[in-house]
Amino acid sequence: MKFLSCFRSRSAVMFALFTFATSTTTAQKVTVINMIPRSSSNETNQDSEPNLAVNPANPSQMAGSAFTPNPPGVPAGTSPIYLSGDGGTTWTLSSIIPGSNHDITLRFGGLSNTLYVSWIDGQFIYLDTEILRVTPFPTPQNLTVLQDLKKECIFGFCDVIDQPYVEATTVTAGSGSGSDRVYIGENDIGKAGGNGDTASLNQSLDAATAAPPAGFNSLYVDARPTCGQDAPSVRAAVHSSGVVYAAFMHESQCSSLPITSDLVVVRDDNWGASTVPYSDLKGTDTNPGVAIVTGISSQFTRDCIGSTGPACMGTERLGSPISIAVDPNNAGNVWVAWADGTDAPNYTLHVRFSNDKGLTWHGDVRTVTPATNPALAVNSKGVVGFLYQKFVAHGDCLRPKNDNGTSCWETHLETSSVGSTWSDLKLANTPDEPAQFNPSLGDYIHLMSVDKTLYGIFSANNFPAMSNFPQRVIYQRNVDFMTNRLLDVNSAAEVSISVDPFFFSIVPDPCQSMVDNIQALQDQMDELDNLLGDPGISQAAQQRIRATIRGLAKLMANEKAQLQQCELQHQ
Amino acid sequence: MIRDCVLAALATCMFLCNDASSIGQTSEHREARVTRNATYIFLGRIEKERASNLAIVPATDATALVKIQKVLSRPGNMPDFSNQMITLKLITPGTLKNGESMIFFTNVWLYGENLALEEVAHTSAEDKTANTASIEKTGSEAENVAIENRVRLAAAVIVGRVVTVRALQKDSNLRPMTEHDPEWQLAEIAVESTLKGTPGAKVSLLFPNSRDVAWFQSPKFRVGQEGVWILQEQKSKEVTSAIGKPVYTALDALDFRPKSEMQRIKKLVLKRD
Repeated sequence: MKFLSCFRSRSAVMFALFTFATSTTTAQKVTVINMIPRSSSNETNQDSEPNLAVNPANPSQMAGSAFTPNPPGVPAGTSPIYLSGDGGTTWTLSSIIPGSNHDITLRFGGLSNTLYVSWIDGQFIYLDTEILRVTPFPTPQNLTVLQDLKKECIFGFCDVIDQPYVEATTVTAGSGSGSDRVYIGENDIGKAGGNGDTASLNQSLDAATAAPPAGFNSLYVDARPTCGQDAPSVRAAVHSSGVVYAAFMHESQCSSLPITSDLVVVRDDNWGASTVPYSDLKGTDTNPGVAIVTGISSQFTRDCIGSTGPACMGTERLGSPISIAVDPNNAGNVWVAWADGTDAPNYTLHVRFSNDKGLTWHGDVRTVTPATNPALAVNSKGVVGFLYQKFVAHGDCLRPKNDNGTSCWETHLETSSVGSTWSDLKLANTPDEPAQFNPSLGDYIHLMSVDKTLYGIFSANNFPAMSNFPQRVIYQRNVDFMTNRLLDVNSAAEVSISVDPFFFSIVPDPCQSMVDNIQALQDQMDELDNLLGDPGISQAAQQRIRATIRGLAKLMANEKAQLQQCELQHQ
Repeated sequence: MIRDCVLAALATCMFLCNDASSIGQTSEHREARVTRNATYIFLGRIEKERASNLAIVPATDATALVKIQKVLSRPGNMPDFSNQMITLKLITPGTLKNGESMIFFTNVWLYGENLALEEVAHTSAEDKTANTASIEKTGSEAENVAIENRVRLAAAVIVGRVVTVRALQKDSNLRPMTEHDPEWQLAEIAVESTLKGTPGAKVSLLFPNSRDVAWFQSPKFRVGQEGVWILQEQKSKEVTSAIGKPVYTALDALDFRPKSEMQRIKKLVLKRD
């Protein structure tokens, strides 16, 4: 009885081992790089809400942004972005943004070596949304402010063009060849009249060379009446053929919390320049835009510092995170991710895709709870990257001795070549605190692809513990990992913990999930083999173990066959 | 003030000494350049011409590696880069040689794996005036300049105490909403003394209670709080008609000072006057 009960408990363990919907072992390696330069080692800023641009014409050139204020000594009235000319190994702060840098995103045109930056500049009672065009390499030049829309924020409501999110490409064939097309998703909450449709794409069809405002013009993409507005996040995905998708949350009920929304995708097959823009995808009501999912519940709050409540995930406020990505090889394959939930513990990320240009959508291919900040990208091999940040209320991240908190943020990159099995890399496991302002980590992070490579950026607590970065991390700023201390520019005094932006890049193996599954099966078979060697195991139990091993061997053979097929496909 | 005198003396020296650092420039130009507001002034030695120690800065004739031997003046919140090698973008390439020590007047250019500075001017290291301890580090100087600017722009500067604070009532159903809403609150301040302007015995002050990234640095106020306010008047008709009287804001982090700084602020106000 003793042995049976022992085996029963071991059986329970083995059964748990058999479930491997998502593998946790992987042979892929990626190095995460803390972007704070060594000469900024003294800084203790909350560098949250990061964004990333990689130059497709020269992928060693990159730009990054975050809520990073001007470093000391730099003339007031400007803000910095991060620049790297060596593929993300070293980063430098360059103060080229004229104004303060709230809600800042940036993207290179496809082949023009031109960087487009959009941000909200807070100037006393005004929140201006601006667009800058610059050639950042070899040194920043040709800085041109293309648009500066001044919005007052003094009374009544704050008339701001919110959360500008840039996407850009260069036309490579056909009409307009050589021109940069730029699409900035915005929530124009000050838009007068209409039916409360505030989701817009501020787009230019010739952004690289035209004089300001370079044709930038806002197109409002929500054709259906709202409860008064759309949610802040409006995201675009551009295919080289000229197909442009946009995703947004159409709010149908917003007079009380939780807010009720529909996730809507619109499409334009001609660079957003169709006769009726963004009307090439129609819903069942014949209005432009397909509602992928309706009745999404979400919370809203502005402040989670020292606060709790349904809209706070630790110190991070919840909002309307959305990401959309199109397969560079097939404009008909499009992926979306979003979040919903009536409170933080139930806040769930969903991933879905369409094979027919957004007309119909498969069900969830991935869900993660509780998590936020989804970011999607598809590389030239058709591998989908899914970057997100998962909240763990009682986590095992290492934290400073005087930090009595328990919650941690896990930053994950999952990849899949088929959309059904995912290979997971945990990039960071970091403490939730501290937070000086909202949002603590950011209302978004970013993932993008150039050819086969995925590039990403996220913000996280910078407590220097190597175990908090399972894939390895490199700090440019001075640090002592042995004593878990950040050090100043002279490597003398200790510097307080804060939030930093982190960069990574990876060429994902399209067959990685199969490799992971084979490894997991092998691990289980080895475990069972060890059990067979236990003299305390009964004959009956040994027979059951052997049968289980035979079953696993069949699964292994199947996985190996799939791996072989995958490798042939991607040769 | 001491720093201004020293800089003026240096400018005069350069003008009279025909310093080689400004070949090709007029004397007026030399003087204007050196007295420009260079934020970082140091004694440094050229270690390597045509060099750079930032990966993003290509080495050219206009760049050199310079070792900072002694920092003479820097912004108060800037780290001390003494004894560190930095990349200097030279104002006149090719005029300085390895091993030469100079006093460099610079502005910050880039923060990378090393610091990069942009030269405004330089002068001989033998200049005794520059090497004396009489040059104050510009920590408090820089902040005084910044506060002075705020005072210059202000409609009023007062010393007082917060009497009441209330949130501005807003229709909860009023859409649209944004995470960047400032969440305005109205503070009534009893004025104890007026340093600038004619705001009256009581001041209505709008302040953003939000801790969103757009507003978190703006000062927040509570009942009973005392201090010195540097005030901007809000002339929006919408605001004044809603509140019914003139309204002020103090949105910059420098716009509220503790009461202990009253004399300091008073001096700055008088200096402007």
